[in-house]
Amino acid sequence: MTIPKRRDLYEKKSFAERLFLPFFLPPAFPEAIEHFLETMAKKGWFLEHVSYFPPLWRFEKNVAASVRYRLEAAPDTSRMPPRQMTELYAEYGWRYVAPLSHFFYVFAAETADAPEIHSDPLVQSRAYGRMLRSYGLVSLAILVLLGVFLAMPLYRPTFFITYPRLSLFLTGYFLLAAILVLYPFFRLLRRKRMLAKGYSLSHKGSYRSILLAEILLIVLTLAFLTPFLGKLRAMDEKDTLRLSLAEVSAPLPYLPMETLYSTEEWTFPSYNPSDEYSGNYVTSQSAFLAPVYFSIHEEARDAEYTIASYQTTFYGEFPSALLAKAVSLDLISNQKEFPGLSGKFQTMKETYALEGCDEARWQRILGRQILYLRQESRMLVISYEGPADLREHLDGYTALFDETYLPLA
Amino acid sequence: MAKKSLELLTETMFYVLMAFLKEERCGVDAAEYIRQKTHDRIQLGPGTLYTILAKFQEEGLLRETSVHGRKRTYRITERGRQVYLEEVERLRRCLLDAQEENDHPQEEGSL
Repeated sequence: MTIPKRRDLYEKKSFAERLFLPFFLPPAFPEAIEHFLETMAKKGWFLEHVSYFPPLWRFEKNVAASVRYRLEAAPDTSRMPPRQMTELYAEYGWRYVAPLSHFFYVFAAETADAPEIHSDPLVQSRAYGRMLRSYGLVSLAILVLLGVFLAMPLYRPTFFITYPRLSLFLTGYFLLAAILVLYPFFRLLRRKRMLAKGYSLSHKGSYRSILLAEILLIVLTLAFLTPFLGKLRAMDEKDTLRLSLAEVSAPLPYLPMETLYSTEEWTFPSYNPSDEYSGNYVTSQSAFLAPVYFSIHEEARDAEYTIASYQTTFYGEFPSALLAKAVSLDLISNQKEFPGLSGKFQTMKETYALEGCDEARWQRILGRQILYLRQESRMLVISYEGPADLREHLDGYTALFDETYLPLA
Repeated sequence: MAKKSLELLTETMFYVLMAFLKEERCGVDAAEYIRQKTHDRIQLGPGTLYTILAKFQEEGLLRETSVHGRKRTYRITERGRQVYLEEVERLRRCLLDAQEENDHPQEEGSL
């Protein structure tokens, strides 16, 4: 029994004679895909089209037949095979069916005596080489995209400090995702190497184990991952204590705004926990990467409530100076962002050699001053908007390192 | 980095060049010639044939001369002929070395 020719399939068919299945087999398992297609053909379903969006296989019904399918590595990045290729393959009894992603072309043997497509593994390895380059680029692009979302703790150390459990989990999940993305590439690379050594490829593969692994992964992700992320975030937030400055009597690592300039005619609005923009509070955390970490937010307003002055102080004690630097760079970068504004702004910068400090830098960008001080593995970052000049209070800020601070209970 | 050009010819590639040495042919005829020449030892699949023909055209060893329907005819170029002859010479020297080794085997204990 031969598979139907294309002209037969142009006849209008009812939906009952069509079957749409999600494209669930990764291209890195061509032998499994071949096995799947052959299994479907034995049940009377023949692949006619593979679409990207949505990712669906389209099968059309015909009399069941024993058909061989082979996935041919695409010799270049074009979606359609060259006419020369399809014509030559047809001479040997192999009909072109459909492209599979940008990496393979699906061919079907119309008769049982059609010879295997490849008789020389060394020659076949060359076609695989070109396909692998495309596959490698796509894998890299996916990895970068995953890294942007999942690996945030790695390039935003402040996130790691404030959400340590969530960060550890996301980092682990990113590594797992990276393995899932890279494993198919290395699998194809291994197939290419086998070909280059003269070994022919096996066309025996089961798609069922891959399907099972994918179902398991999806179920775990939906049932476990999403709710678990929420719980980890809640646990991390629970570890963060937030109190009104007026309630705290323990020493805190900051210079109150009253010490910077005369605030007689200014008022300090009380902290309102239900108002996310409310100021005059302190958050305190203690985690394995940051045994002591404070962020102190002050806000003062003039009598008419038209002009505001802000000071945010970040203080951290870390296991190493490198981590202190990394976190402070991240904090400073955050403080340089102005929502609603983009582009480069003129910045004034000054560096100081202060006794008791390993690093000391001040900068002004638009109306905001940012002061950074570091003593070994302890860091202080102050972001200030107001009438005072932080450079006149460097001694006061440096003296903050002389005190011992404990996380708030 | 410059593109890597054709290096060592595989046995199949060598026979494909041989098939075009004396006359223009289409790919399928070349595969049949090779099958008969090697007494069924080498039977080219369409994928192997296509890859070799494409590679040889890319490297300038073969040139497509005409297309009639699905039949594409190729002719070997001067460069293809030269590569073929160099490979013949290389194989000949290999064979001579092997024959010399057979005629004068290494004496025992000489290593």
